Amino acid sequence: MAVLVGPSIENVYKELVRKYDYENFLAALLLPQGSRKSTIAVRAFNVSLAQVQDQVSQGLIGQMRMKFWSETLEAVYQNTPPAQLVALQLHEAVQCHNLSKRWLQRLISSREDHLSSKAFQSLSKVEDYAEHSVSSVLYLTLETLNIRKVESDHAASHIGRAQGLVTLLRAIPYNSRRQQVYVPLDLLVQHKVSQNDFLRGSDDKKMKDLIFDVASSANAHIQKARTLIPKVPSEAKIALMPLIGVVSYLDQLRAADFNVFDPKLSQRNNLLPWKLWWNKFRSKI
Amino acid sequence: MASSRLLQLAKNGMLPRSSLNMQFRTAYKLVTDPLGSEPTTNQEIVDRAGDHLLLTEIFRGFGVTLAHFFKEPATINYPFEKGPLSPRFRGEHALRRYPSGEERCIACKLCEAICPAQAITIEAEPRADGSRRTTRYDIDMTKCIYCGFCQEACPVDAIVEGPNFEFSTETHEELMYNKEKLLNNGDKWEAEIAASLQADHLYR
Amino acid sequence: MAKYVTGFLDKAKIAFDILKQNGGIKGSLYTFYRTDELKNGTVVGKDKYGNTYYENNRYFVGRNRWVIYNDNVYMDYDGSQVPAEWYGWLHYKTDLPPTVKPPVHYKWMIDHIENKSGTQEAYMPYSTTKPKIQAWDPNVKKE
Repeated sequence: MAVLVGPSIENVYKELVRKYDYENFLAALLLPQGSRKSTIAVRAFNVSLAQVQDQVSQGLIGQMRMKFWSETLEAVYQNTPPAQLVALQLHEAVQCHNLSKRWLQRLISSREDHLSSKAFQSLSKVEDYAEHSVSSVLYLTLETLNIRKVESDHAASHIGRAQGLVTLLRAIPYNSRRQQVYVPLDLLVQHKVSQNDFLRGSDDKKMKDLIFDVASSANAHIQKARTLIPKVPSEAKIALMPLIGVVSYLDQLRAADFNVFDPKLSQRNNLLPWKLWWNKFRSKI
Repeated sequence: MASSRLLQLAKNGMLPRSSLNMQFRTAYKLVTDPLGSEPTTNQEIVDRAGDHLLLTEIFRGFGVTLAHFFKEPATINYPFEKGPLSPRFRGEHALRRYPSGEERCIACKLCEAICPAQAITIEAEPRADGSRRTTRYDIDMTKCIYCGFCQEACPVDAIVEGPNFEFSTETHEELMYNKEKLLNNGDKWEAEIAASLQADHLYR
Repeated sequence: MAKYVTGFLDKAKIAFDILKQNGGIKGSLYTFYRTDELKNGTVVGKDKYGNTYYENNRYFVGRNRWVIYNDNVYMDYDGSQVPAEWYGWLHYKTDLPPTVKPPVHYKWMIDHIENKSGTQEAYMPYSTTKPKIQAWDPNVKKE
């Protein structure tokens, strides 16, 4: 019988990102050598944090795990990381690129806040959450490239928000299967859509209008980021590559006539690696 | 009276089904012989006597029993056939390792803290290479209530409740698991524990 | 009438197949004695401990996958003799047997051991730490 040999020790944290955050993993692969390793370490840290909410059944257990990660972060900055793979890799990344503790702390605090308050009140709350949880990773990616400019951070902030909104859309079928709805309440009220419509997976006019609203505010952030991109240094563009995945999802969503439950949307986009590589080749986003 | 007329129709079976759905508690239709009725004709008397003398009811009963003997049973034949199990089934505990063979547990004691039955006991000290590891990791499997909080609380996926449920023992002491036993369980069951579903995106 | 004839012929064919697969009259009697049941099905695979796995979807779910334990254990078969690789398939957690989807393999993984309770090799708990107190030994002379 043929045996499949699993990943080696160095690749465990890469495997974590490749498995649970495929599109961003592809984007991270395009980065230059030193930056790539650190970015994947940061992404692995992000994945470990993001999974907590889905793995626990009670808020208290989630808080305990968040406490563990914030203590681990303290230890990493005091050069005494625990013997945990992600923590060790993160320590290496922090040593290499002198990453700001602030962004890493924001990753933890945003997830921790989200643990206790499950439903978003409004779309701007979602954007804040996205800015904290997604943009922070992009800021850190820029730091691994030694770029600390206001312009690039500004573009990254908008890309992060767009990515967060797309994640919200992308998670709707997944969360509906698990009997959960995270769509902001003000949009539900405005479009007269009930949470049951999400659980049933309906695709009527009201639902499509709601999805269209979220998608268009994501698109507004993308347009804003596009206007900022000419001002960012050319080396920084490579760090903003996750934008390609966001844009291609929105294109697919438009092709599916804003029906988030379309099964095509949950399939892996096989053209994406080529698209990313082609854009890197042309150094264009 | 309209209702008594309806009743009459219902008794004779002349009403459509839908109108019979009305609540007529008094409407009924006899389908068997009235109890205690005596056979009236000679033919009936002979038939009944024949039934009684030749034990036909007994043989019909035997027939039913025999038919069940050849029917497919509704039960499963454990341990050759086994029932369906959920992928999230919480069974016997195991301590996992990284693919390199290094143990995952870093003695953070979150599982010990969350355990509602207080079944877990941990002692830890730093190892020669400086990393903090457990020296004692005991689970009293007779206290454990299999709630799964330990695996939920574990930030490094070290302690898991594996799929195995066939670990019953003859004595109580065999269920006092120590670290060695838990690590052995992990080494034994890794193939099944690692087979999990693949998700492409982060949904948070 | 034809319905009953073909129905009977089908049943006779199944009975014949079952007898054939279990090794004739003698083999069938042996299997029936050991497993309390006679079934036929396709062999899905065999693990390295000599257990053979069968599947036949003519039976309902719960009975359509089964294992015949290694002949060497004779009547000492036990549910815990099924190794981890086949466990998921036999318990309907996955439809892919390890012959189709090979399981992960690391060099530190150990062979499957059945539940040894009640035998000499049964697990007995012991402490994995040094004792924290030492008993006073009266024979040791004070120095």
